[in-house]
Amino acid sequence: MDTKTDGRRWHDMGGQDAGPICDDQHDFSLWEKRVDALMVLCSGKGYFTVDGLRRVLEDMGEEAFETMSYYERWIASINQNLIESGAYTTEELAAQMAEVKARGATYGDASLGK
Amino acid sequence: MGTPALANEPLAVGTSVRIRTLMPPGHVRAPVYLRGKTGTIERAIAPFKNPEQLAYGLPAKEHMLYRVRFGTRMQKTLTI
Repeated sequence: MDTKTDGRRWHDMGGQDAGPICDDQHDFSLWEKRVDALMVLCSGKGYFTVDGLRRVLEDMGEEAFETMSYYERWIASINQNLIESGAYTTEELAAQMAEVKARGATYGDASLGK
Repeated sequence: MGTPALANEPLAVGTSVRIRTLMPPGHVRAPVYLRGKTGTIERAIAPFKNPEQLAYGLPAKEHMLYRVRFGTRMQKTLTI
């Protein structure tokens, strides 16, 4: 099947050659666990659904899939969905990011040791 | 107000269904490998909000969600 012209989108990989699959267990870092928890909170509070998460991940494209880690893509998608649903504005996000950045260079400093 | 009507017609177990071959851009749930394939309704699950609308933060109509069985063999095309 010609996958370039038939309308198939990049993420719709089912049935295509995948190559070897890595079945190693992953050891997630604290920030990654927090991204996962954030998704649970966001859907629980009704800001958006897992469908919105997937929609933005798909729209981010193949390059993001190849260059960003799993939870890097998740937090980008969660942020996009939160802006779209009106949870905060980009202006508010910018102000908060500047405040966090000013706390210090390490994750511990930025999260106030929590 | 009663229960809102479902957005799709009820289908009986055993009904043969074919996945449309449409290829719109956007968030589409039917994987390409199933489009154009024929399956059989195995059972009705429950009314389910359309995830293709939920994905954009839109109010979503409820459709009956079905479990559909597809064969794993390649479908052969008969050439006459």
